[in-house]
Amino acid sequence: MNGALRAVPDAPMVALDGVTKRYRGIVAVSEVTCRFEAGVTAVLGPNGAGKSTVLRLACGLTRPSDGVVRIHGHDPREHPEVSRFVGVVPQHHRLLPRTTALRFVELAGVLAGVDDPLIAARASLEAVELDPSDRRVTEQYSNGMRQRVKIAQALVTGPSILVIDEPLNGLDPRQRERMIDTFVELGRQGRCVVISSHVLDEVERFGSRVVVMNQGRLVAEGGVAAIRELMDDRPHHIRVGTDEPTHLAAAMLEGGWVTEARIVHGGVEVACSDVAGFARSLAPLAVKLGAELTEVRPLDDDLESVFRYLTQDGRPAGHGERT
Amino acid sequence: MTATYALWSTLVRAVASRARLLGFAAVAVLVVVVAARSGNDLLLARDAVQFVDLVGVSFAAPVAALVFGVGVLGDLVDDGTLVYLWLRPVARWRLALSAAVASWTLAIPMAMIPVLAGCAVLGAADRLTAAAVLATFGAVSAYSSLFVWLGLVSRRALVWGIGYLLIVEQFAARGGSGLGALSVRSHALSILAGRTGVDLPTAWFSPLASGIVLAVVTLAGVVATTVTLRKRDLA
Repeated sequence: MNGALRAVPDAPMVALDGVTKRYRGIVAVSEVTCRFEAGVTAVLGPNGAGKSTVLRLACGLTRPSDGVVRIHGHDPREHPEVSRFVGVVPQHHRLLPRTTALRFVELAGVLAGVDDPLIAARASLEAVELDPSDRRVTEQYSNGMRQRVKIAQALVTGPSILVIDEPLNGLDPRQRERMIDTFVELGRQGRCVVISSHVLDEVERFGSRVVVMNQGRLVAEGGVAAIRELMDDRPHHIRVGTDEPTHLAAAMLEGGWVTEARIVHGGVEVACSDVAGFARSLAPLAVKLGAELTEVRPLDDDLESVFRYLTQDGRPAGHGERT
Repeated sequence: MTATYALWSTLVRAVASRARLLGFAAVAVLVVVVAARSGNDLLLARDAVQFVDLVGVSFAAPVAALVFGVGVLGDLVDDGTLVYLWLRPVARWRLALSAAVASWTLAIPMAMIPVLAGCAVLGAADRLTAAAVLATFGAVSAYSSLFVWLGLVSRRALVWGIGYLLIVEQFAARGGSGLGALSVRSHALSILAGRTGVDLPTAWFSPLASGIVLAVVTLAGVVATTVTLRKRDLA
């Protein structure tokens, strides 16, 4: 079976088309259509949003109730061989019992038909800073070490697609940095790295494309900045540092450039729908009022804010740029 | 290391917990003690055969098959680690067969040891010992295949398995040649009875027919496991 299946030319690395997944009548994921291509893609959403289900669908662990899933153009449920393209890191920290890390990772290589699984396993463990000669069984490892073993078993086969549920769980700060670098580098190499995370600042550091899920639906996708642009029907919050906050706030409200203004220490915080228009008008207005501007800083341009906006009422905000 | 060997050895290691092995060691010791205490009373061949029926075919074989069978894949389903074997480019039948063989690897010796130890203590004839080995082997093989599948489809496989052994197997085995055809125990006892020439109340069939039926049940269990592995979702 190994090696018989080839990727379909020009087919997306992972494609979900109109995918719905129901568990005993309960809809976990509804009509999701998206592509995962080379680079890092983060699937974001609150608990119960359907992130893990999307990841399981994307690698063939679960069969869609409706719709189509393809990996390199093949149905992973009909062609288990397609799993040679895929490395999976589950969210839980459990590994096969009574097994050393080296044997566990080697097993992954053997089953995937890697040429020299023992050498590949040693290299993969060293890549995640684990000692291949450690004779302890993995039950004696910390959660962080087990997480690295899971990553090593996913990498040992050299997959073109990596599906990783909560990849930085249990890692210390230095290991997190290294793992982030590793995943970003794998994305740069042309691999498709799909991660799920609820730690939003981590996702920003991956520099990734984002797919936002809420209540089983895909509510937005694109770059973080592109998603933020979807918020045109919601106010952007901006802090303006000035020595004339009262006059500036009144003028901006009167001119219709902002919808809200609140005087704070050393300036004014405003809400506006048209950021570009606000930016164009601010400097001339300050000159006209004789106000000195000391700071113009968005207060809600971080991913946390984007995510909160997109998911707070459960309604689709629309799709960002298709990358 | 081939994929099949890797699967088999991994599954054996996974299911061979210390608690399970110690449990069966205790059973073996208990059987030897009972055999030693009963030895002087079992003067007739019929009594010795019934002892093998009671200890091996009706107790050690189904219990060993149940404990190791439902655990070999069921444990991995429960703790979410089956994904490490399932999401590989390995044919599902190979995984199913490896699981069945892993279960046999542990269940057969665990069932055989008390039977053989009992036979030795009783001073049983070679003919009885050979028959006991055949009957126990057939029963463990068939039960194991069924229980490997049961462990895959049910999170309460142990409870369902005990219920099956206590209700269905006991009821069917006593139900004559019609219902008895559905009982693994009845077929295993038919082998034991046929090979020893001792008439047992639930041995309804010829040894050859029963051997074929047990082989078919064993194969059916592997096929059912393969189909389930193909169709089921993994958490």
